[in-house]
Amino acid sequence: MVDLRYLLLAVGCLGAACAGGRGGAGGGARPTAVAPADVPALRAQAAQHPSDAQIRFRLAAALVAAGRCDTGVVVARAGQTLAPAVAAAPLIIGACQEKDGRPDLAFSTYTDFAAQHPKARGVAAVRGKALLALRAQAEQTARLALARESTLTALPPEASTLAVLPLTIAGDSSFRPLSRGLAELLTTDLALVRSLRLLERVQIGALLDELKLGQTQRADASTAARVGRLLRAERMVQGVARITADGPVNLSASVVRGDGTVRSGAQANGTFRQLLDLEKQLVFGLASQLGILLTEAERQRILQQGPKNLAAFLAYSEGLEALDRGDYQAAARAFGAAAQADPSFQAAQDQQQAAQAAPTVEGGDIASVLQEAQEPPPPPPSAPPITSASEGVLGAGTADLNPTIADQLGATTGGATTEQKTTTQSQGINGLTGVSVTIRIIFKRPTL
Amino acid sequence: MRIRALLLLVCVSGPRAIGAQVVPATVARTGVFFESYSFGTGLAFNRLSEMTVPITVTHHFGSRVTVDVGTAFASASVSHTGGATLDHSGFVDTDIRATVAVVPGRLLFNVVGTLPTGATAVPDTTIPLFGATATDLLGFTTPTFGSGGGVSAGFASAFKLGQRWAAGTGASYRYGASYTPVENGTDLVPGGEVRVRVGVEGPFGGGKYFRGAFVYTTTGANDLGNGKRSLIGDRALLYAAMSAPLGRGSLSLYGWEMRRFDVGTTDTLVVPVPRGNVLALGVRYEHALSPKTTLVPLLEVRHELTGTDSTTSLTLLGYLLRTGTDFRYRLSERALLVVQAQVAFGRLHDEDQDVSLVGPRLGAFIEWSR
Repeated sequence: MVDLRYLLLAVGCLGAACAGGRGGAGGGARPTAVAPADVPALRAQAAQHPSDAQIRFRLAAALVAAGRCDTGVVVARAGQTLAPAVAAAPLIIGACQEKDGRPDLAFSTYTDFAAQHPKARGVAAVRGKALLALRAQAEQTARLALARESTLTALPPEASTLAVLPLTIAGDSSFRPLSRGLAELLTTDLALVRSLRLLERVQIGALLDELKLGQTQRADASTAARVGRLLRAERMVQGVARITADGPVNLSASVVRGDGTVRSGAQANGTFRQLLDLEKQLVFGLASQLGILLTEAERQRILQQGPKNLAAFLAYSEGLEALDRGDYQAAARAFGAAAQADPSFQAAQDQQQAAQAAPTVEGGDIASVLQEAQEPPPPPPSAPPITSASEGVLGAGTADLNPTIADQLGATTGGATTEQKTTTQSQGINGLTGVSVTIRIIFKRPTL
Repeated sequence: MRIRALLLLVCVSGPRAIGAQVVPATVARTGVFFESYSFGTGLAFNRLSEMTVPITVTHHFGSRVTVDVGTAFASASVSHTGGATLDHSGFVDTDIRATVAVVPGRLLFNVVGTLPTGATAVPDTTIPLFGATATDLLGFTTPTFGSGGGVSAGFASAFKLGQRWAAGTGASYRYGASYTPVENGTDLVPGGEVRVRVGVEGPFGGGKYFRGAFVYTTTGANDLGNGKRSLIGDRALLYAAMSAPLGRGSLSLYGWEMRRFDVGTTDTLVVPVPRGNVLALGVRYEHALSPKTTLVPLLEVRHELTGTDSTTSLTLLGYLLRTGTDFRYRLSERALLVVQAQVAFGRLHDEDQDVSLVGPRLGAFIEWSR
């Protein structure tokens, strides 16, 4: 639970930095405490300066300190409309939602803000709060699910809801972190499919922890079905990764329904160095298995998302494992290593921020976290990520400039976004009407 | 921890582009396409047909090199209104293309070698057939049947535009080897050809994806011997396509326009290719019927103008409405079957005559990957 005393200090700090307010956008002001007794004065100031977001946030904090979360949230939202990129609003609103026993709403508040304002000051604290709220929500859900298992199993699953279980790692136990990493990658990739709703990995992990299952039991289809019923997921993805560092790697995944029926088939084979490519292949195989025709845009987004570097992914997986056992410092180090290995790996940067902020936020000293958050945001990656749009440009360029008949057939099988085929008439051979009266010279040109 | 050692190991290899590598190592395609058009009265022909059996193989050597090999067996015939028939059967030229990712995700180099496995030195009586199958409006699968071979080389580059978009430039040069196109005729020495391309693409709001490009092509004069030359004006091609999710499928809208400019000479020793303009607009919907089957209905309109020189305006050559569907069926994890059925209706305009045309395009082929 949030310590509101510290929140008040934080609001004073962030309010001074809020854009659009009299405090200006520069920041640098020291935290100023507000107390319930300040409410009347702050109300008067807010009436005199209706466009001053800083005053609104201070008033909201004072109201919350007075135990009036309902009014405090309204005032904070009003301040947010004036200065949407200031972290004070989601921190105040989220704190009240957590206080109200709704970590799920708080999580949404935090993550929505972080997604909309990824470079805002204070966003690290917001991410840290999101991390903790998610864990709190996951644990709460898991306990409730087990307590109400008989009721839940009688309810129909939520349509199109999919949960990816941690993958079973077969082989060297040192690859165990990849269980979480691969599950996370599969989850984030499948979440890009418009017709699917993916459950949070942390939520699934919390339930498995509550069930106290060993890896062998987790690999059992009946366990997956039970987990699916408890989570009210329509389908569960249960994967196995057979990994050897210098030998073949096999990724496979089955889809388990709540009634226990298993549909298997998605596989990807290769080497350890191809692990990231294999994961994408597995995603496409799973989509096919689920009866989903991916659009070109979805394919491109899936290909574009995630780490581009295996070292980054391995570090990221270690970070997830550390995070799940509550070792935030180790998690932050691992996520930092991942971000360093692949500067375009945005999730690693976000998780690093969250893991760094989480201990301070969890410890209650939110003011110091927000003080830290006033530091300039981390610099952008040194090199821009290689995007799939680039791959598309290169492929289309090759087909336009040096085409072969393979390009034409590839378009028919759905391999191309663009429909464009012209013939050699454009290159020098007269067409149908022309040849009925004229003899022309024949020469080959590639199709343009 | 062993995973740390592996971490160091892969660190040495540096970042890699995923997109270019999530493809099967080998893709082979073959099948059969049949197209036929019946014409109303007014043309020298009343039917034009073509059957093509394409064979293509694409193989990825590691993450940087891709080789495509493609050829086809084609059989075409045209029936004169008087009852005579012209036909030709045989392999077309074979293209071998090597693409090298010089800087993965940013710069490709490619070279195409065209082996002259197709028809050369054909009887002059078959020339009208070859001209007919080259009509842009009809868009035959095999528009040409052979040459003296050649080599083409070029590059394609990509640059990031914002977070998710990319722009690209590219250029290529083609050298064509000389050959004798008509039996007992003189050699033809093709002129070199330069192409330049600028393109842009990327995703936008709600799962949509856009691709657009401009390609400019200029070709040198073809030496026909005895002081004669054939010339074709520069060509400018502009195209754009957009796909967007719709229901359980994906809707694609596309269009392209190609302008062929006047050759700009009145030299009587020059055989010019008339200037012209081709416009195509189409819509395609990919609808998943089941995990294994996809239906892809299509509707396309094509319109062509032509003109003899720059002093006269372009006149209508014809227009065509094509509709039909592809039916894709996944036979296995590695094999895909595509059945195509289309029908086209349109009109051709020739020397004040307006001629109707109608005909099917049927095809079936298999894609195999591993």
